[in-house]
Order: sequence, then C-alpha cells, then structure tokens
Amino acid sequence: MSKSRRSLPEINAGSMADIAFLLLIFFLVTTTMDVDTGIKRKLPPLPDEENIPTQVDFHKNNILIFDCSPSSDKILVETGADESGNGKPFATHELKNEIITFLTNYGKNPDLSESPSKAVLSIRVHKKTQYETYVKIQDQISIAYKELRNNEALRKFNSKFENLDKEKQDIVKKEYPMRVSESIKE
Amino acid sequence: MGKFKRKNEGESPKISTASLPDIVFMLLFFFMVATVLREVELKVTNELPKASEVSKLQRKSLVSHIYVGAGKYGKWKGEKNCLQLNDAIAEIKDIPAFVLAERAARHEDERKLIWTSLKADNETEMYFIDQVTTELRRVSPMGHKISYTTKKETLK
Repeated sequence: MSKSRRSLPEINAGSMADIAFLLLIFFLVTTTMDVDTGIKRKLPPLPDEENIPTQVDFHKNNILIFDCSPSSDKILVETGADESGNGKPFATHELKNEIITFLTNYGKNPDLSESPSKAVLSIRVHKKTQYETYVKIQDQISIAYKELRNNEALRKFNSKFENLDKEKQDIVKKEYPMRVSESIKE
Repeated sequence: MGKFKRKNEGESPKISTASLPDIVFMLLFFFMVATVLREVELKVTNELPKASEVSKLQRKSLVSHIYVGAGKYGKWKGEKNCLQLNDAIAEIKDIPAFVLAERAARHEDERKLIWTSLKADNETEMYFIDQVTTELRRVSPMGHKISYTTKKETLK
C-alpha cells in the first residue's frame, strides 16, 4: 500500500468556530431563561348538592377581612367583630404585620383570633379591583404564614420549615393552617 | 548585550485559536440546554404582577397555561379582559374543555400533578379572574391546583 492511501487527508476545521458561533448567536437570541414562579394555591371545588360546605360555628372575631375597593390603593382591614365598613386603611406592604398580630393573638384581645388554627382570612374584592392588588394581598398572606411557620419549625424541630421532611411540615402546617376565603361583590 | 537581544522584537507571538471552537461549543451547549423556546404567541398584554414570596413551578410538562390580559390584535384590540388558551383568544365557557384536554394529554398517573399557571395582566379586573377560577373549580371536584404567576420581587 502506498503512503497516501493510509493517511486520510486532513479536514480544515478552521470554519468550525464560525458555525458554532452562528448556532450560539441563534440560541442567545431566542433564549428566555425565566422559570415560572408564582403564588401557589389550591382552589376548592364548587359547592353542589353532594358537596355542601360544612357549616362551622365561627366566632366572628376569628375572621380577618381585607376589603379592597378599586378606587383607593389602601386596603381596609377589619375583623368580623367590627361593624362592617369600619375597617382601618393599610398599605399593602403593611398587611403582613397585621396578619401576624391577628393570628398570634391567642385570645388576648377579644376582637382578634382565638388561635391560628381557628383563624380565617377573607379577601373581599370588588368587581373592578385590579388583579395586582389581589396578588399583593395573597403575597402578604404567604409572607406572614412563612414567617410564622418558620418560627414554629425552629421552636419545635430546630430547623427551617423548608428543610423539614413532609411529616414534620404537616405538623407545623396543622398548627398554622392557611385558610383563605374569597368573595366578590359589586 | 547583544546576546540577550530578542529575536523578533516588536512582533507579538501568535495566539493559538485552536481551542476557540471548544470554548464556543461549550457556551453553545449551555444555551441549548438552558433555553426554553416560547411555545405560544401572546395575543394579550401580559404585564405580570410582582410578588416576593413565590415558589417555582417544577416540571414544565405538567403545567398548563392560561393567559389573561387586554387584547392586542384584531377585533380584540383594546378590549380590557381577554382570555387566551393555547394560541387563540377564547371565551370563559371554553375553559372546562381546555382543562379536560390538558388532562387527557397527560399520562394517567400524572394528572393529579398538573398545575394551572394563571398568567394574568396587572390591570385585569377581578370579576374576570373570578369567572376564570370559577370555571376551574367547576371541572375539579377534588380542588384545583393553581399558581398565580408573578415576577419575583425581592423586598428591601
């Protein structure tokens, strides 16, 4: 065999970089690296004949109502014990502290909740309320519960809530169940 | 001193570009893996609200999207509350069929794990959101998992 048959001719790889650059630029331009993030909630099923929501005998002071009218950027906060329409106005970012005081009252103030496990938060929106406001309230609720659950987890298990296994998380969640009701009015 | 005189003064040595393709390929693979091609063309405005306490939606294949916002094109242009399912503007009454189709497209074991990502514009009015969620509740006798999709905002 002659020498030339054995050695393959070399392929010029000089343009490889160009081709790769071309592809790279394509992906750079088309890429969107956003991961979907959001506030997770579970919507309850619609009530019907077989599925009538159980009437619970609520003490009115266990309900905290957020009333958001479309005309103002403040949110009226009132407990069920207040007369309706008598809420105090708050900016959205102040709600967290209100929620925490309400939840961790343990019956000290007769107008606030008896215990976190009995408390219910109620968002009352108007037809024309903007979605942004609603999301902000939901966010404040999430922040408040995260803080409370984290404290409880640290106290009970000496670890952050998110680092607990599912069983222990459930124990903490049972202490601070998130119960949010929503209603819409004209 | 001539002994130490540089051989080719003024001429810098050539840098080898042989590893350039490797570097570029590395970048290329990174972007190919990280990239998500947008599946649908948005026909509604979609300025998402901001929230700080958010969680990620894992497993993209198990997320179905509902878009809500003001219409951008055609006869829906300027209409405040519009609903987009897949690639087209839809009506509220189309939601149950959409949800059922999304369920049918998944394997039986995974149907319980589907999340609905509600991507609604900041300025959508709540009565419209309420109509959407009511339909979602109607098709889910066991409760419906929803994520109010937001942008992440870090609080100071």
